[in-house]
Amino acid sequence: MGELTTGAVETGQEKLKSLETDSLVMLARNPASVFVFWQFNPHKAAAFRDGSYAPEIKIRLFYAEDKTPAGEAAFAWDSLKAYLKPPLEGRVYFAALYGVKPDGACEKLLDSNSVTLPVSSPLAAGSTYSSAEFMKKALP
Amino acid sequence: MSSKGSMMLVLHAHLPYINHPQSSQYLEENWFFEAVAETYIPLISVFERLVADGIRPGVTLSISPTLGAMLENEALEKKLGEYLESRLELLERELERTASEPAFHKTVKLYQKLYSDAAAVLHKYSGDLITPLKALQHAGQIEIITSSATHAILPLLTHPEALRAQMSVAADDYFERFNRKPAGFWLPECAYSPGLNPYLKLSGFKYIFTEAHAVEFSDSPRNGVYSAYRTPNGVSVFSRDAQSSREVWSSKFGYPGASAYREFYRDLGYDADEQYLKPYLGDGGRRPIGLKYYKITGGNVPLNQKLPYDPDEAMATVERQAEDFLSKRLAQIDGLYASKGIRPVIVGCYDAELFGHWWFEGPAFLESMLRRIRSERLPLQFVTPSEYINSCSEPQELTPQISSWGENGYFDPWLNETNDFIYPLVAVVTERMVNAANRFCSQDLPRPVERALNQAAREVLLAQSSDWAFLLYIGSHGGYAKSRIESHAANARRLLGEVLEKKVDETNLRELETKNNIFARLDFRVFSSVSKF
Repeated sequence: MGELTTGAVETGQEKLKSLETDSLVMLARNPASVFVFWQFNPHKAAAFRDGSYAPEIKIRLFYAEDKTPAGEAAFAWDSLKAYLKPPLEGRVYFAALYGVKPDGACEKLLDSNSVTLPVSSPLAAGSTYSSAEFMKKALP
Repeated sequence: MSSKGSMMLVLHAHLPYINHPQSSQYLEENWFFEAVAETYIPLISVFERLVADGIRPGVTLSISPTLGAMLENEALEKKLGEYLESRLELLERELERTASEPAFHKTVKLYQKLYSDAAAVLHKYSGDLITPLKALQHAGQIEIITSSATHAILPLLTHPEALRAQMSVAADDYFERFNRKPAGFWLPECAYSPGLNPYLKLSGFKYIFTEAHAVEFSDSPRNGVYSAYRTPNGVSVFSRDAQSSREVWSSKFGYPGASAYREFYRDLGYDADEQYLKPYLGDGGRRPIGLKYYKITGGNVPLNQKLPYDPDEAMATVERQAEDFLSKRLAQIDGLYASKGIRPVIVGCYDAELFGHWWFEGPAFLESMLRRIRSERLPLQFVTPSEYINSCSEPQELTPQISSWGENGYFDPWLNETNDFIYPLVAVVTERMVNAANRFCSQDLPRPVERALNQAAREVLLAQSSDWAFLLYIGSHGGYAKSRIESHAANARRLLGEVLEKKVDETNLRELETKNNIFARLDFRVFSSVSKF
């Protein structure tokens, strides 16, 4: 799970970009984490391979309501997926993915969709009383 | 007797679509055979017995489109008949083997009755179990609802077109099966996010069910989970009551864990001599075969120290628990009536397969409970959602919170390190499907191209099923789940590629249409963007 630090102000966009070429998609998992996955077109993937970008990409999270930064984490460019810990429950976030150039400058490569993080509830513990409880037991 | 409140019992029946017409070796098809023999037929029989005695069950039954399709699949029906014959043959041998063991002989006879009753019900309805369910609904005895087309976790779908397709296909499927529009929609795993509302409305659904915290932590619900609410666009929302859920669901301290009840995890498939069982095991060696002769005995008792199951002792426990469950509901209703001044509705939602398959005595519990309400003239009535909505005053408007009924109350079981590879895979094929639907939706297409696009849509829907993620998560049949996801995605990619290249391989297409033959009348245009639909 990537630990977040505060990043720069950027803009997000609601609509998913074409997954056939470049894409960064975010899904809310629970009140404490989101899952992101990304894909680069062959041209950008080649740029990572030939060293035009550093091997680690940065993913920055933003609050959708005012586009202020909510955190940043780094991942291997070809890991293609990551879990992030947004700072506040119940807020709407979007993400942006940056490549780092040899001079250290960050270049935004991808924007994600926006997602709302759930709010945690003490009642959620009761949710374990579903079929999962039975199915988890292994047969001898 | 008038009641101070009511109970809504919702049973969600679902299995992933498993159909391998070319092979008899897929153990996963046994899930269907077991569920039919142990759950679906016993529940139908309970409902029919109650109706025959003038007792209205008033139960809500959710039948997922994938299960509905399996119940109507003739190849599976034939295999189901063979499965029942095979079990009855084994039970004949078991009667002989246990003749001098009265502790087990009684249970063998019980299983013999279970399977012969199942065979008789199938024979009575010519193998079509939708017929009695349809009749029960038509007579107002039960209410049947649907779920998303392939039981997708809807908040985890990346494209709005996929949401619309999952709901719209489910609504059409229900109409074809039950000759009426569906009123209710079971959110798979109670997984909800506010983004679903417009699509629920668009597909004509009147009500949904959510987990308790979806409502409890929304905009100040006046009556907690004990009344219906409505979303801003007019879809009614019922929420699961945690207390009654816990009493039934929990295998640790819930009713199914009673010491007298049948032990699920000790199975003849592991106890009997392997050579003796060989004709019934198939090619895969030892596995559960559904005959279980021991009782739970105690939660901490090892499997090899369990005591023989005694059907009479189990039935006595059923009666005690049914009485206990009803007295607790009446006390709950009295308390809510006194403290809040409301006539509460207690919503109990359970997987249907809990009753009979996992909890062997579950159907008997249900029957005992419903008979007691009548025989003891208890001030409690079972209502269906449509009845409740039609009779209650204007519900409070609120927007439920993001939630599910899975572990920890959100989406962790379906999105974690064991199964997250699914999402990029599904997102890509969904997008290709949407693009193809938009491109071809208003074209007059040659029949093979139209069929290829329709089959691609089936493959995409099947790839979106939540069951593959769940099986990977629990580490059960993970290889099968992975192969299903990958093959549906690959089939969709191949078909869409062939359409774009104008080279549809009709032999391959026919094979896929035979194997993954769900939603016969599916039109690929359901995946087109709303503005183009």
